[in-house]
Amino acid sequence: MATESEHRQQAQHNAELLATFDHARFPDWAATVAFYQAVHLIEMLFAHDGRTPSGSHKTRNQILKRHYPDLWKEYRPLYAFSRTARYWCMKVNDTHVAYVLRRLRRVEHIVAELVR
Amino acid sequence: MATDRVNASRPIRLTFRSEMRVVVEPDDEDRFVMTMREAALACKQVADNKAWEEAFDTFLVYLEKWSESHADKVSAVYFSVGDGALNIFVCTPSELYDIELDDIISELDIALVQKFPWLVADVLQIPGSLQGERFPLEKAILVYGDGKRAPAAGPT
Repeated sequence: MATESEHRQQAQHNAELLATFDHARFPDWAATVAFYQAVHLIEMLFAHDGRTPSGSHKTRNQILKRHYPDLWKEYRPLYAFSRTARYWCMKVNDTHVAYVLRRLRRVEHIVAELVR
Repeated sequence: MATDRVNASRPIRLTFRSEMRVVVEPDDEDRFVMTMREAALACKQVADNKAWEEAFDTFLVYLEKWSESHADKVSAVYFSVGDGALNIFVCTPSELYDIELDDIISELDIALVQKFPWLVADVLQIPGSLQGERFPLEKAILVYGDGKRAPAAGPT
C-alpha cells in the first residue's frame, strides 16, 4: 500500500493532468480527474492519521462520513458527481466543472489543515 | 390433562447451553428433532429478523418523509442493493445536475449515518427519471414519487 508521501505525489500528478487539457471539451473527464485527485488527498490524510488504506470507495466513504463529516460534505459531491457522469453518461457543462473544481479546492484546504 | 394446563401457563425455557433434544411438530406433522441449543438459536434468529425489519421500516419512513419535505427538488427516490451497499437514487425534475441539491443530500447522508448506524449506503442524485431504459427498475424499490414531477413541487 502507498505511503502518505506517495499519495501526495499522485494527487499532484492528477492536478497536473487536470491543468493540461481543455475542460470545455472534456468536462466529464475534468470531473473524474478532479475526483481522483481528491481520492489521493483523502488516502494521504488516512495515512497521516495512521488509518489502514481504505482500498475501496465504499470503505473510504464510510470512514469519511463517520469520522470526517466536514470533509465528507465537500468530498461527497465530487464522488457522486463523477460517478453519475461516468456511469449514467450525464451531461456535464462548464458550470458543473467550475462547481467540481470549487469542491476540490475545499477538499484540498481541509486536508491541508488536517495534515499540518 | 392437568399437567398440560400447568405447562401451558408457564413459559418454556430454552437455553443455549443445553444439548437436550427437542421434538418440533410443524403443521404438516413432518416432525424433526434438534437440540435445545439449536432451537434457542432459531428463536433468536426470528427475533433478530423482526428487529431488523422494524429498523429497516423506520429507515424507509424517514427517507419518504425527507423526500416529501424536498418535493420542490425531488421527483422520485428509489433504492437498490449494490456491491455491499444500498444505493439510494434521488431523481430530480431536471435533466441537468442540480448543484443546490448536493448540500441537501450531504445533510441527508450524514443524518442517515447518525440515525441508522447499521446502514451502509450511497446517496446519488440522478438528474431526470429512472424510468425508461436507464436502470432495470425490477432491481429498484420506489420509496417516493413515481418518476413524474411531484404535485407538491408546483409547476415546472
